[in-house]
Amino acid sequence: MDFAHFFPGAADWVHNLGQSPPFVYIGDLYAPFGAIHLVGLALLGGCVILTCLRLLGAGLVDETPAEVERNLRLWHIVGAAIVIGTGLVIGGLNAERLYTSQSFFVKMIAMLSALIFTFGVVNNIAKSDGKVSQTSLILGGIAMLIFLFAMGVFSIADGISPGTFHVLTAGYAVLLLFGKRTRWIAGIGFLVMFGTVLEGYIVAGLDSFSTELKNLGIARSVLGGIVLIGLTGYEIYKSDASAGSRIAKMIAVMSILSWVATAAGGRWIGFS
Amino acid sequence: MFHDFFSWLQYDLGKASEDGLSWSQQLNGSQNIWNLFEGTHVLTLMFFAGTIWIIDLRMMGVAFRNVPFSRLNDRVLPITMLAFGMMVFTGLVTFFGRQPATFYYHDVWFRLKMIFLVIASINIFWFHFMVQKNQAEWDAAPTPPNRVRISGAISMTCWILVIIFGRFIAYDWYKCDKLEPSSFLYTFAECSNLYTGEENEEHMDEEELLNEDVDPLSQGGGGSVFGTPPAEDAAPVEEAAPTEESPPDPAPATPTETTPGQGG
Repeated sequence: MDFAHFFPGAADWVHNLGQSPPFVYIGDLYAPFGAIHLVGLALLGGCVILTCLRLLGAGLVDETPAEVERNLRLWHIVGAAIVIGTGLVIGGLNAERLYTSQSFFVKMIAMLSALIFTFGVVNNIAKSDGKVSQTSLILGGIAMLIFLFAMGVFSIADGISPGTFHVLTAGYAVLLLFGKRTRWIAGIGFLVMFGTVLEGYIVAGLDSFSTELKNLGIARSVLGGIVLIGLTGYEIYKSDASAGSRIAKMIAVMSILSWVATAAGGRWIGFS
Repeated sequence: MFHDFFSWLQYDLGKASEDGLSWSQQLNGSQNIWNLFEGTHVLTLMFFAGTIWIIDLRMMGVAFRNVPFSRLNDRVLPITMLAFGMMVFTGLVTFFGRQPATFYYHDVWFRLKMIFLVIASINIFWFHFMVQKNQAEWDAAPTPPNRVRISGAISMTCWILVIIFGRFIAYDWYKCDKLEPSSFLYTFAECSNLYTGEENEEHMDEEELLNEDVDPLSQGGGGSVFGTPPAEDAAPVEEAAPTEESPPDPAPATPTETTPGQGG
């Protein structure tokens, strides 16, 4: 599934995009824009992680969620501006390849959900110190569906499905950071995820392309995903008596993972 | 300086297997393992750089001005340190698994990245042992003293440059085969070590065979300083990574048989 599949009529436009102004004049700046794209992603990611962790009861817990959001607001915007600004340039310069890239499709869909989560939902929940308004609830539901769609495509697309590993391991890492009851299990889960990657290759051979390895990867992703959802759900369920707060926590986890999926999708453009 | 050591890592360590490939070469030829580790290395930036910059911004007096530095530092630094540990681990695997001697060690951008990593480390020590000594005096100050702000700015700048230079490693603008032997960069990257010695020539032939369809030294940007655009995502390491449905040509790096004794 890629943009060529949904917008076949755009092929000519995409083909000519790199040769059209302004892209034709800035081709040589592709690499620096690509590097700065990563800088923006890191800045935005840091802001998202700290804001979401605060909603999850971890990280900057001495400050209210509203204070954390207020202090990070400018850097959220700066990070997003860098990511989107540089992303438009490198996307325009590489349009033809991205048009048929499943990984890019995943990235864009995941980014849509991430943007809704961050700027439409999480920051508003943080501003209200964890209270979830009806608007946030609706937008959060929409973002969640989009995110799940992106993850669905990510997990079944040939060649890029191993990239879901990053989202799962990030999920365990987040649980390790905010979990109170399941922290150690999350830590073990995180190590097991990496351990089975190494173990599988060590048993089958580091340079092996065997079907067993592929199946092991699928089994790892499915089992890892189920355990992660179970642990995160349990942790959130047990965390607070307030239903609103639980929803805020769930949204916070999804928000972090949607950005991770966005970044992972971007990275796997090159691998696929 | 370390060429021989990295050559040993690249060509000899774990070479006892049936196919005669070292662990580094096997990792290089693996289907997804290198991608998974490199991808994690890049994604961990969000957890590491993203959080350390918030501390840096506080040191510079431009974020969390109303929050005492120690309070912010105590809460954020554990996350940063965990992420840093992960970055180092995945970074080492990434380095080991993609021709450490011939691709990374003699790369200008890799060396610059390492230099700024060292500067960032020195800055951490300077901050910890010198600047932080009188932390109580400026801990709650919205705008910390100059040396705290300078330390924060150095840290932020170094990590930005580490990311940028790390990304540039994928491009071949200044690979040894493109540099004039009389140039500063040729000396800086110790390129002469890359092309001398019978043993090296033998290894270079071996590498050519391993990467017969993709030569890392010929990938990446184009002739201009910042390269021909669409080559970016086609970073050498990425292009070299085969897809699931289409394993690469039967180069020695892709045997289908189990190769025992690789575990180490």
